[in-house]
Amino acid sequence: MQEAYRLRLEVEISPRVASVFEGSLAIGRGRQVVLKEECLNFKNTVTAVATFGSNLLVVGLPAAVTAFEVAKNAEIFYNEVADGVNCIAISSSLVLVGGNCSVVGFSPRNGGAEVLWTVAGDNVRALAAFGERILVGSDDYDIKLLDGEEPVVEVTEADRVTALAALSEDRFAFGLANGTLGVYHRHKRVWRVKSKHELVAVQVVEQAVVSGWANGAVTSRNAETGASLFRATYGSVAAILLGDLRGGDGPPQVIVCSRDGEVRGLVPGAAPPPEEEESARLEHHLRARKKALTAALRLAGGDDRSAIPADTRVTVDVQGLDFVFRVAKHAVILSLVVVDSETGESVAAAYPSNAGPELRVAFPREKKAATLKIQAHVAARASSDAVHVFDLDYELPKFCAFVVSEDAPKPTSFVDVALDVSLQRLREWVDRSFIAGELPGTYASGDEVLSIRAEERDDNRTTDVRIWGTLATVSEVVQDLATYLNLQHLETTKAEFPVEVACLEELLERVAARNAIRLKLTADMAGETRRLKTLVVKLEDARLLADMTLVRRHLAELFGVNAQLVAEYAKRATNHEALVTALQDVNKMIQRAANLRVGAAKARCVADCRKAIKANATHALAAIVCVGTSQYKSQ
Amino acid sequence: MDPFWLALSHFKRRDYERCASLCEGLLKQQPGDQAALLLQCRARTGQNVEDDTELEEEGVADLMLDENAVSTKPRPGTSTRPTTSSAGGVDRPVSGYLRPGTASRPITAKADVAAALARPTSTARPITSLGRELRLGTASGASQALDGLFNRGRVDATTMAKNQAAAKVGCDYLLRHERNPTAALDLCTAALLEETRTSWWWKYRQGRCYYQLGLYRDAENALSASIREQRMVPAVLELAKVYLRLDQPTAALAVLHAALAESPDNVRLTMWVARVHELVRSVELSVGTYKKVVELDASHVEGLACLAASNFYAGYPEIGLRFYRRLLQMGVAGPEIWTDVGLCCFYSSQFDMALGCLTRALQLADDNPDVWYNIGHVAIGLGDKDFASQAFNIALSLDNTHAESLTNLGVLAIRDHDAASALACFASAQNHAADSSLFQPFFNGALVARKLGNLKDACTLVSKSCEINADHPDSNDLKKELLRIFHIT
Repeated sequence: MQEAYRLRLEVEISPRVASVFEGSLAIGRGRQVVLKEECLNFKNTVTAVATFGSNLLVVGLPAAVTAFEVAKNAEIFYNEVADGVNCIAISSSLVLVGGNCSVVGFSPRNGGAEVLWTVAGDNVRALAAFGERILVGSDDYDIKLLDGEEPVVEVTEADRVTALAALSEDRFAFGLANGTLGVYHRHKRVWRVKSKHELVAVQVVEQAVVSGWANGAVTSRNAETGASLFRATYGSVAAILLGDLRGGDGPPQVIVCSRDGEVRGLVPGAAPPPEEEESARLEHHLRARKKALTAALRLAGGDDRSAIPADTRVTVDVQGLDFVFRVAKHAVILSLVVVDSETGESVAAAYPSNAGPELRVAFPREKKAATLKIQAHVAARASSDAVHVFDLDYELPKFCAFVVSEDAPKPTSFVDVALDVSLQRLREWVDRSFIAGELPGTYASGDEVLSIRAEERDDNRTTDVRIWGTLATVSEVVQDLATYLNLQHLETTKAEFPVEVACLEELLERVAARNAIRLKLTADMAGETRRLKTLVVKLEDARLLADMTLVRRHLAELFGVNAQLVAEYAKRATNHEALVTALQDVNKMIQRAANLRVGAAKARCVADCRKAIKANATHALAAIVCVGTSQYKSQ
Repeated sequence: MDPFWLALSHFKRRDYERCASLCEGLLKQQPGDQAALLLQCRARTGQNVEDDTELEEEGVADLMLDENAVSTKPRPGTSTRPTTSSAGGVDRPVSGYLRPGTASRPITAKADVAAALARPTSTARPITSLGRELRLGTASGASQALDGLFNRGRVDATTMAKNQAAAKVGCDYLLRHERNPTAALDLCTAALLEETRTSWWWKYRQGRCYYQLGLYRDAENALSASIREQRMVPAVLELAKVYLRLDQPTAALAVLHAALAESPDNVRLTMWVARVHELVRSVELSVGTYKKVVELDASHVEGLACLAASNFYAGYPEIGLRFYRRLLQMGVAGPEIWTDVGLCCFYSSQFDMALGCLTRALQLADDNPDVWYNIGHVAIGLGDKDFASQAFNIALSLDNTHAESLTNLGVLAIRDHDAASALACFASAQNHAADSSLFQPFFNGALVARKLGNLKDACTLVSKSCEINADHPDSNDLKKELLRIFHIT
């Protein structure tokens, strides 16, 4: 790749609010979208900009999305999006909007009708599309690949997902807030590289992954291997776009927009830069090897006092919430460091004052599978000056936080699923996902209790599984089970979550109440604003007429109206915050209910929930959560 | 006779004032009389009915403090806002028909007035507050009448909405008589929770409330929802109005055309299509649609007036005259029409008729400077300079800031080789024309100054003229010549 042109705009470019529109850039700046020759004004801050087809500019605002046809000076649609607009992606026929825990698809050809809706676990910050396939990246580290509304692939990464780009139907590139860039092929991560800076943008051009970081680095890598093809450093990257700014018939360029307004067009061509990185890596590798060999040599020729038996091993054992590390006799563990290999952060460290052959370490466990890298420093005696380093990996199962506890009271809410697998397979799953798991078994993590029971039917092919626990945990267990058994479809036979359903109904009531307040406040504020405007004009008239008594009176009134408006605004802001939180909770609840199922059943559950909420049929929700669908029909 | 029956009869005859006072009397005797209250509400509403399908002028506060249009520099033909003078030059007034509420000035001489008329409000600044919609101090509470109607000390929207028929009356009462859209909106929201069968009615009212509150996005949503349920012409017109407020005439036209596809011969819809075309200055389309309006309704005043004016400005004063005559036959008479008829006569060389018509206009208008200005214009055409200057002087005596008359007086003074008074006239006209788009006083002043050899003044004035109207060739030529003299080019 090489730089074909460079231009400087007089605007600062905020991350992610830029798009190529009709052969020039459309950049969101505050309440405006700046185009080549004109500005578009909006009533609120522009949060996202995209181009649909050749002539529609799609603009995201904090609570709405609008498609504007610039040539005709007309809006195709202006839709309110209660969940907010974080990002916009364009699929073959839809405008996709990622908001607070939800993704909505609007069809511009249909006057902006909502044709797609699905939930995510947290704020959706990255969206991409490939034909009808949709990629959703959210703040709970999840990446989902959807086919329409149906999830195809779900993977969990190590940090917030900040950028996504589709390579093909089932391959995609992702970027994380911690600077990781990589490519997935379905569930399998093909490659990844890490950097210290936040990754801002990822684009795919001709099977090369172009990525931009907050520190200004821009790289292009081979999508298959991750081999570096191009590297350059510009100003802090705000967006990487694909489009044609040259107005010719040539191929689209990769357009890198920096925050300071500098725009560069990159085109393929020029020889790839020398393989500096490759040689550097090789050198690093050789140096490490040399170091290891030198150490081994020293050890071999060292004195006997600090030597430990050659067959010394460090073993890991789990007792309750503690990890117990042991070495055979004639050695002691001096200190220990535990690092999560995914995030690279240290999870725990221990350096007891009285070192012994046994070391107990406890560390917080999350409901997340992890590979721990443990480094144990072992010596013959506590006073030895030669320390041996033992590296060992430990696979932490997903539900490591749950510990077997027989006497814990069994929760009342549960889900029943029928699986076409043997009991033996289920046992394997329990072994993999729990520490010292047993089946049937009851587990506890703090106040939370989880219980699993399985019964094989007489035909030895189907197993009935009942899982007790809170909706949040049970849904995760079901998903983990489905992933392990590689299930494409799973329907619940029975589910009962009375507490959660009641909570959802209450949440919806709260949303309705907050919404009513919002409408009322909006109308009130509009009325006040009109009064304010009139007063300003009257004040100006009085001033021109030099009627100071009148001026004073108008000013006093203006002061009052203004204070009132400020107070109303504060009310409205609080209300809005509460509304957003409530909506987010509703979406999370739907997500959990959907996660009791897999495949088509899951998509249907989400769609039904949405329909019921839109039609204000709260009573139908309980049925949907428990049965997965309802008798409810839209009117 | 039963007073309530009488009140009903008055109501049917649209004698709202008497109906309301009769009901007032009934209520004094029997404060709980629901029927009388309801009738009173309806009578008060009837008194305040206005054609709200008209696009009212935007108030000065909205113009100054609000920006509803999305695009700051829309492509030509896609916006209702006036284009800059360099964008193609509009040389005919936008409308020949005076819509209620607009304050365009009925002066109709061709060349020099065209630019003035291109702006809808040339003399009067936009209406001070926010037009007719707002009454200060109605921010809280509904009226006593409503309180009585719904048996409450303080009207509560939810209670009101229980009784649908009464609530509809109450809603219109709040909107039209009380002019309290906030309270009406509350009622609409409450009613929509109660009622689903006629929700389009409530959504339409909701849209109107939002429109009056200036919440155009919400208005658009409510009206679109109403139209989806039940396409009614007023709702469509209201939605078109909302789009015009957002400066999206293309969207307005799309809505109107969609409605026209369903009811192709609706006069009001066709009328609005014509108006929107006129607002975006596509004259051909607009005239074509006005013709259709007149075909559909041969006595449509606005359609006839617009056709008359467009024929006049297209250089067919005789045909314009026919339309004006039709208007006169229909009994529409006023100084504006008589002035227009007079000018049509004048331009079709019927001088005797012209002065007669203008005299009629004078009788109806009670000494209007614009009419006198037009008389002066006719006198110039007749070659009677004394008569002309007398007419202009009378116009000035009625309104001493009448810049057009001052300019013409100046021109007459040049004819009399009185450069000093000509310059004085132009200077005064320039002062009064400072905030309008009259460029003639500047150009004429420049010409005189150039003749007198005062090149510096000439240059300043002609630059000003070019600034106001960049398309005036004579101004541009003069400027070029002057700059050449100064060796600036």
